[in-house]
Amino acid sequence: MNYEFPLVFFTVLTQLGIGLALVGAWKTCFGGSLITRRFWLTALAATLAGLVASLFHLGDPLRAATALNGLGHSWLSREGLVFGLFVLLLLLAALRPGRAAAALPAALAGLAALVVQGFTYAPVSMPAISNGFPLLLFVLTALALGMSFGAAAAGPQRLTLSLLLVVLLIVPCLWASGSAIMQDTAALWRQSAGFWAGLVLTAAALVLSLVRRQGTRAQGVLLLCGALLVRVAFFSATVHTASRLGMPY
Amino acid sequence: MSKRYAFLMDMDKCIGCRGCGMACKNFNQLEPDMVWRQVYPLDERIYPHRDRAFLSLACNHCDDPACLAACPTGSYTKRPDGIVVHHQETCIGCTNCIRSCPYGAPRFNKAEKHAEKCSLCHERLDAGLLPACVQACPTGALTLVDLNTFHDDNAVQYPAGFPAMPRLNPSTRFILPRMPRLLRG
Repeated sequence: MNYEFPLVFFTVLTQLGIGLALVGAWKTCFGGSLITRRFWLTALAATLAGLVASLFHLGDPLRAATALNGLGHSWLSREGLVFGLFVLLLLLAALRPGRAAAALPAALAGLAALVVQGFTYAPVSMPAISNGFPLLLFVLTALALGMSFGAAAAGPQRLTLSLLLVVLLIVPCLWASGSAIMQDTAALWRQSAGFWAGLVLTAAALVLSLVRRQGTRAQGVLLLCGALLVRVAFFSATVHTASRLGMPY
Repeated sequence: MSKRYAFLMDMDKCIGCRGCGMACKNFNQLEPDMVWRQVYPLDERIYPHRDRAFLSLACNHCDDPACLAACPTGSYTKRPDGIVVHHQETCIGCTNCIRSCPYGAPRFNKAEKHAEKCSLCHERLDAGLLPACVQACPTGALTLVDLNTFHDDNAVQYPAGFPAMPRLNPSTRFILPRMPRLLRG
């Protein structure tokens, strides 16, 4: 089984960075609270850590820049471009903390990066995730992580965590009523210890949010570990059509 | 009018000898753990007989290839004759093509750290020769056709055991296996 750990860390850590950028922009524009330079640098560090992790996925990391050659047709190329832009705008926001004109573009670039990621990881060869599920999962993960580490108010956090849990519980059930590939994917996800451990950690983060008024670091760590474990299931337990050649579909 | 080359796989003639895969491996000097063409026995739920039937599959050289669309480095090109060519020298081994192809055609070369796949032996075709797998098939189960002129009412695009991907429009065509004949003494 291929766990794709570089992609697991890349997607989750960049989504942490995007989540923080969204919370930072919201607080700057509407919250009235001062977002420090350290906040933006944390978002930048998480995003850069994710981007470095993604290099370990490549056979030839030294030529990673050539991944921008396919902008006209490849979502992976567009992902590289949008994340480059996101990093630059995060840097700008860190240089001008508290300025809405710097925070808002960073958040918009983060949203664009989430959308592009949602398309990149929805290949036609994996019918279970060749739909809006990756985008929904990535958006909810980014929001949940950003709110937990960004000390957002408890109300929206509880809502996001509840939605994330509901989506993760319902989607495998929907797959179980689909084609043979979908059913295989549902079975593998349900057999994945990482998936269940991730759900338990996410549920624990939700319980913590019920007793606290705003996101705490402990809650964020629980959620981060949960998101990483669920992402391992996403990359390793989703069945590829080529694995059933010669068998009924 | 330009050609559109395609494999025609006659499942009724295939005996599962895997000679096609070996010829491909031999001609293309593949690594020991690498195959570009693989023979898959049909599952008993599809062909419920004691005799077996097989799918011999390599790259299907799709009309709208998922590998080409997914490749961030532009390492895939499509020739006017329909052949999808992978250029290993520009591949960075991101494996996005491997994740994207529903037929598992691109494979990861662990030694060279890049993807690679069937090229329909375009060098041989350009020299007026048949692809190595077609040349080697002892029963004539594997042939090369031009889809622009090919017509056979018995040929199907999506037999059972082969994922239907109309958007990609894979070029390979199949002749289905008949029911086994009973010999009575």
